[in-house]
Amino acid sequence: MAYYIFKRLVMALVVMLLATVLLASLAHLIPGDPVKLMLGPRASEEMSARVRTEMGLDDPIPVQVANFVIGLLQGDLGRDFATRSPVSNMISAALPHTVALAVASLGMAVLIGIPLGVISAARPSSWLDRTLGFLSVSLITVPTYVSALLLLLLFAVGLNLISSIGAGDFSDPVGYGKQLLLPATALALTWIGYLARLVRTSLLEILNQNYIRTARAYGLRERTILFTYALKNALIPTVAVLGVGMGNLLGGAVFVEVIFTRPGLGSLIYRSITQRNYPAARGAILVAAFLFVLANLIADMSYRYLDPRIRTWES
Amino acid sequence: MSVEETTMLAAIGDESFAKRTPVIRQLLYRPSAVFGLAVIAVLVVLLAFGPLLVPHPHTAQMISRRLEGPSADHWLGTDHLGRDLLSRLMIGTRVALGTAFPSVLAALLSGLVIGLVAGYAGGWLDNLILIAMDTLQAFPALLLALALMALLDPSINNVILVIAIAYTPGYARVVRAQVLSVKEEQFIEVERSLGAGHLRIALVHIVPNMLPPLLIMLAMDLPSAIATEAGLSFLGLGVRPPTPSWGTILSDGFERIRTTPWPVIGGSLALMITTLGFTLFGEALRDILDPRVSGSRRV
Repeated sequence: MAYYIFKRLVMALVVMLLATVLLASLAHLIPGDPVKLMLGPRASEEMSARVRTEMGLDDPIPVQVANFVIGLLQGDLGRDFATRSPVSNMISAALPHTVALAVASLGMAVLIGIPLGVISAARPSSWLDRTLGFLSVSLITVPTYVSALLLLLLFAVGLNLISSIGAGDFSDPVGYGKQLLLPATALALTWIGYLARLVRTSLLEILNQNYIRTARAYGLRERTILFTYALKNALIPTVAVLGVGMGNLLGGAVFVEVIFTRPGLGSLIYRSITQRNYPAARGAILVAAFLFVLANLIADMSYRYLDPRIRTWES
Repeated sequence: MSVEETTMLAAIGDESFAKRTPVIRQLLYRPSAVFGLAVIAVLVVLLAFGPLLVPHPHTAQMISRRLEGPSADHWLGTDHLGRDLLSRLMIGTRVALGTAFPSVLAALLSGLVIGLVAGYAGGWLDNLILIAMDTLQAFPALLLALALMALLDPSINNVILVIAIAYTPGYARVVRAQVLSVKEEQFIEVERSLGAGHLRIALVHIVPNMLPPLLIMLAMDLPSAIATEAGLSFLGLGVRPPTPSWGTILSDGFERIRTTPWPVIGGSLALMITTLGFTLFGEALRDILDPRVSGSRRV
């Protein structure tokens, strides 16, 4: 196990490093002048030259990439192209809003999705199970921006229940929570459907196992069997998919934050890309990628920790 | 008869049913697959004959009748330039399927080649390819697509390219794993001892063996690719107006969401029905071709 953890950690670090190099060299890999791209075709020669020197774009490409990686190790992601403030400041201002969004929607998905899965598995093939099954697929297939737009249309525009703009301030937790409700729901819907299905499948599989039959033979109540013995084991696979879930959340956050005009990592990525603000886009996407790699690492580790069979199987 | 015997008999019955009946007949036994097939059929008809079927030319502007609600003349109303919304949605099928199919096919083909090379060659080349795929997968697919689109001009071809790049690692991994599991089988060894070359072994024996799982992946990735294209276009980084795409229609609708709900509703319906149809079809296909796999691969 220790060897596995070590190997996995080293791989994660290598991947992060390579992802950084890839992102730093992306602008050079694609034909065209990155400065022209940022300033637009009508930029003057002097302007372009100044920006080029300032950003170190006259250095050979490997030197530039190395400089970016070294800067990154010191927590320096370069300077924003438009406002000249450090990109790391922009990211640390945006990140808490995205973390709050991700935590809220994951929490929602767990609180709603898991019970739905249990209800389905308790009465397989009943009309309720079939209805929930269809509901789950439908939720899974709806793109995040469609759910966000429809929620916005229904609750903010149609019923005028919730203001759709901004995130509010952390100093006002109630107001912040209210503003979080719709965006988090939009992001959670896919996951509610996905968790419901996953829990149903894995619970049904476990209810067929010998130890459950033994528990039934002992005359334990069905409810005790379901919640105390089966559900615990059935939840293990959900841990394994949380890493993938994080990736989807980060991608979905771009849409949700743009649609609900929330400040956050997603809207920062969107804004910097549409403004051709290359340093900011590079930094924000890199941070998102790091979060994704980290989430996968944690999910993988906890899965192994929770399910001893995988450990024995590997050693 | 004991429970075990009954289930065994049922299983045997199922197996012979599966062997006797062609895949398409089996699909028709499942209501969800029939729904999926119907949706796909409608989309294909729209793709082929869209311009002949639309109630109004999708480019015709009637400024005097802009942002109207549904009427007998315009079933879903008109957009901000007075163009018929339903017609634009129907023509939008072209962009939706016209990007999703080529991009997922390209991802499958490049993944096939990369995975074959990695799995078959092994050693340092395999490791190198694995690390490269890991690095691409370090980015959430949508963010990778965004990062690439940021540096490319928004156009259909670039959207196809970007989605193909984002989806390739998934295919490469599956192909590699399949090659590794088939490579050591006895029939491959026999074939090699009979003097078959690497290319022959790969193309004649390994590739046909992994077609079912790849087909399932393809079917499951199509709806995601459709959603990704529309998402990129919604953000203004995909297909540009005036080309009608469900994403640009949603984006127009979002800008005027307080004036009229219809573009958002129409675009949402088109996307929801399409992705649901493709997914239900893909899942039915998966259940038939590979009953061992349960639960979906991608979210």
